[in-house]
Amino acid sequence: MNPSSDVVIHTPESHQSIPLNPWQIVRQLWRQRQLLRQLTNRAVQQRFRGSALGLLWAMLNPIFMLLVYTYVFGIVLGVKWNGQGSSFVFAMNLFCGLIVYGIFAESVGAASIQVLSNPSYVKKILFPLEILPLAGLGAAITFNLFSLVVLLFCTQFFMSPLSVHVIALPIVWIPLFLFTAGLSWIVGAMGVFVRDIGQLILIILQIVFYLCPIVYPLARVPVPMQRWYLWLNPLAVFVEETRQVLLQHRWPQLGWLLPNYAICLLVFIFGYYVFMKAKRGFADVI
Amino acid sequence: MSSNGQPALDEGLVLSVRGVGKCYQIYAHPRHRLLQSFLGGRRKLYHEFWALRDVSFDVARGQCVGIVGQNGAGKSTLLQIATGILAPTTGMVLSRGRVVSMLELGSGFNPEFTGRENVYLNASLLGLNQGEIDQKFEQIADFADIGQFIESPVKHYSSGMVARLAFAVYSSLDPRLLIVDEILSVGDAKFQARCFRRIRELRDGGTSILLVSHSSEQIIQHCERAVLLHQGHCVAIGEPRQVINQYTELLFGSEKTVQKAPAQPRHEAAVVVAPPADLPDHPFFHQTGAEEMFDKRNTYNPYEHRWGNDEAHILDYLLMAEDGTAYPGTVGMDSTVTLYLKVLAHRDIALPIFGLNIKTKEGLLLYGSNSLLAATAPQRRPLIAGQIEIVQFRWTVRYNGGDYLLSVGLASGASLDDAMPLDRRYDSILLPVLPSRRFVGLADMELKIERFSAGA
Repeated sequence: MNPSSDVVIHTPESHQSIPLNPWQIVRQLWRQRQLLRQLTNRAVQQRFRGSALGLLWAMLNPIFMLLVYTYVFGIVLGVKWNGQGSSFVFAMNLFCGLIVYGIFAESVGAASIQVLSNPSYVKKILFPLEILPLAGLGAAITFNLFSLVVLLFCTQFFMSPLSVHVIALPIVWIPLFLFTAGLSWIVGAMGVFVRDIGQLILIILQIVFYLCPIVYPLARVPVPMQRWYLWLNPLAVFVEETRQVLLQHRWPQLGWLLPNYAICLLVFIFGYYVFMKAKRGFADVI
Repeated sequence: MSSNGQPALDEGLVLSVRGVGKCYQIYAHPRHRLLQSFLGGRRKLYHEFWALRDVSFDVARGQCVGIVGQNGAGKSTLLQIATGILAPTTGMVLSRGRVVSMLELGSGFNPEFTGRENVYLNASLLGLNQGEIDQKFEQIADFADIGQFIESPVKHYSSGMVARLAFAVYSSLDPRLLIVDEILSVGDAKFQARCFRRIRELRDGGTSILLVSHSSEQIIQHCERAVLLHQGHCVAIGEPRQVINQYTELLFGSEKTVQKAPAQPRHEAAVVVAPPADLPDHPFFHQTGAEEMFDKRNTYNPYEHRWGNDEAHILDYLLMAEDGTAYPGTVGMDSTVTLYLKVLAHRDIALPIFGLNIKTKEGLLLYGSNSLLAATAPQRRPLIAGQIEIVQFRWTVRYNGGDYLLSVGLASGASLDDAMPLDRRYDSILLPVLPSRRFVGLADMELKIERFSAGA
């Protein structure tokens, strides 16, 4: 071991710089990958630990939600997806939206209390707190992957078989993860200082749910407003693009995706910066 | 500074604290904190509190450094900064290699998860990978010695079990520097002994230790150097015995200036007994005022328990070490200690009894005697109202190092069975004793060992 390489220097906060280069941020986080994996595992297990059905709930939950939504919108209200197709088509389109929204909402919703509920990580041990919101995201992704399996299974056997376009899903979802991570960091940091954030965020998530084309297709939104969806609501793009590759067997539209990448990367960097900056004050308020 | 402009750490050091200060911004209301972030530097809504100011010291490889100081002196803040949990406001901390911090045993544990899972989590927090933890797991489980509980959620553990598991994890990670905050006061004696043995093994392996303790004994026994913090400042650094003496002095405050009171009119019936020939020369013997001085002395313990019927009072005391030091911070084993009490009766006490108890800081009564029991005691004669007298106690320290508390008492009665307490001051004087390497335990039995051949 090089004797000088393992020297750690702790200096006043004003001397420490927070990396803004996304490559550097990812490298810093990559160092904590083992911890992140463990915390994600825990967050996944914690939810179902002790229940008789265990991880099966991760699949039953979306199935029941799907049945309820399909019953209300597809059968009771008689809504057809974009004016055509069966209740089942409606359900599958809805399901795509629910999965994307689920990843986002579960992660951001959990973020507001993650730091507060682990005070000893702030005061008693040296802990990379920025990992906590990411572990929440990891758990949200894991749960929704179960849903994705259910979705793929349903479309394969009851709608149209899967096509090669499925492989584009990661390209669509990477900015979703960046965007969600960034917002989770911001909410997580604010939650420490303003305790009302936890309640506020639940209301905001409800509003976001209906502002996203989840229970309706983006095409039903008046055309002038669709632009606003594209620029102000990256989630809308993820929902639409996910349907594009999974249900409509088309490649993602680069014209939508590229600006989306840029916005999400900015949110990711900004979120990281806000969290790392706020982190210095955590010990004072917890 | 090294050639590349980066601060450098000497090869032989594992930790260097350089000019470290920590300032807290104290806000009257939480919302002011938020407001301040918008105001920037234009107006200050807070007042500053410096928990640490310009503290510097080094820890060399394999060295054990102790930190002492009163509550609120900044010890915990210093450890948090050394660990990296808090950033210093000024100065810097350099450390080399794996720093393992035990600020509170088990604080890194998640109560919902099993002991095993927590071992893995905490070890990976300190940078070990899966394979390294797998290798060490058996050793950790063995040391913790909690049996099948290792597979149960930590919330079902007793606090002792949590401490055992946490200590087992942290001490098994080959730290270069181990930071320990007062934790060894938890757990039973057997566990504590094992912890200290483990710490010794680590030190033999080259691990440095930074130890915070309230026990003078622990610091003197385990540390090569000690740092004394007082109100955030580093006021002494060096040889543990000297630092501990300074600490004891700080703890009990400096001797207050004494005003000479006009002499009391002597009572007609006073029996004047000449003081012993070896009476030291100390202002104590010349002050004949009747005011209470007891609680103004060094080594006075403000948490004393005082009771009695107030017909007589113990006004003052003087403690002398063998070498003539008044109010010594510590005394050595086998040395003779003398305690003088100044007593004043408010009415005539026909049959006074003077007593002394020596207790460990845990409250174990080590020795107790009085003027009726002791082999050498003055003849019984009355205490005259208004007459100040001095009582001398002298004994040899035949007990081991540690912090001891003296209780003194004045009672009245023909025998111990019908004694009426006049003024009892329990645990009123602190008398730390330096540890000896001659024996373990409390009392010196002066063991003699010989050997000879069988049947010779």
